Amino acid sequence: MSSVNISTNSIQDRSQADTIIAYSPVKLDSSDLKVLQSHLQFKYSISAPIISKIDPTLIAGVRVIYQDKELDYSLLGKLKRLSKELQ
Amino acid sequence: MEIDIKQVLLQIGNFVILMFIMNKYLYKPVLKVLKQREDKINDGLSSAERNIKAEEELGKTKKSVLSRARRDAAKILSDAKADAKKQSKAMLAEAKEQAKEELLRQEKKAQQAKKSRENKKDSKLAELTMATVETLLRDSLSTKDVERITKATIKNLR
Repeated sequence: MSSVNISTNSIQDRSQADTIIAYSPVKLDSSDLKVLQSHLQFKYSISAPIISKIDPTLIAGVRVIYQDKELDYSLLGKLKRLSKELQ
Repeated sequence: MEIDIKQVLLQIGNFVILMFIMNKYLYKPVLKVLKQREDKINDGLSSAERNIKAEEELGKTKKSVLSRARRDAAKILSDAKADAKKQSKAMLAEAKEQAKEELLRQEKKAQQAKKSRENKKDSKLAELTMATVETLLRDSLSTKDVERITKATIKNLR
């Protein structure tokens, strides 16, 4: 997996501040969510319940938001990063 | 003819007295006046001579002062000309240097502006390319493709 952005974007849904939200253009199944959870636990020591939400604008891939952290593994994020690099 | 000694002596005495009186009251004052006049004339002459000499000296001094003044003026003029030439040369050199610097500054500015324009162009091109790619991807990827890519992305996180 290529590099990801860890930004301090404001959280859209404050009531779910302690929940990991995984945005993707398609609904993720429980095995996908488990993989994500273990990845976050291993790499960023994030341990929290995870929910899946649909975001068709991402094109493909997944974008994870937890508290003030954002991990963007989406195709749209990749394109944005590439565009930034080219500029 | 008989000479009367008495008469002769009397005549002689008479003459002497007359001479004495004339000498005392006529010759001496006249001689004195003449002497005074002569002195005056001599004084005047010597004064005139002195004046002429002084005038000559003055003329000489004037000539020398004038020639020195002319020399000084010529020197001052030549110095001033040399100074002006030197100054104008320095000013010209400075102006040239300033013009060169200004030219360099303007060139640099123009280069920066060009670079900035090119950067903007590149930036716009990149933006446009990315927008096109995004649209292409959105249009060309099927739901299955999206699902496959998403799952593959998650799989790669392991």
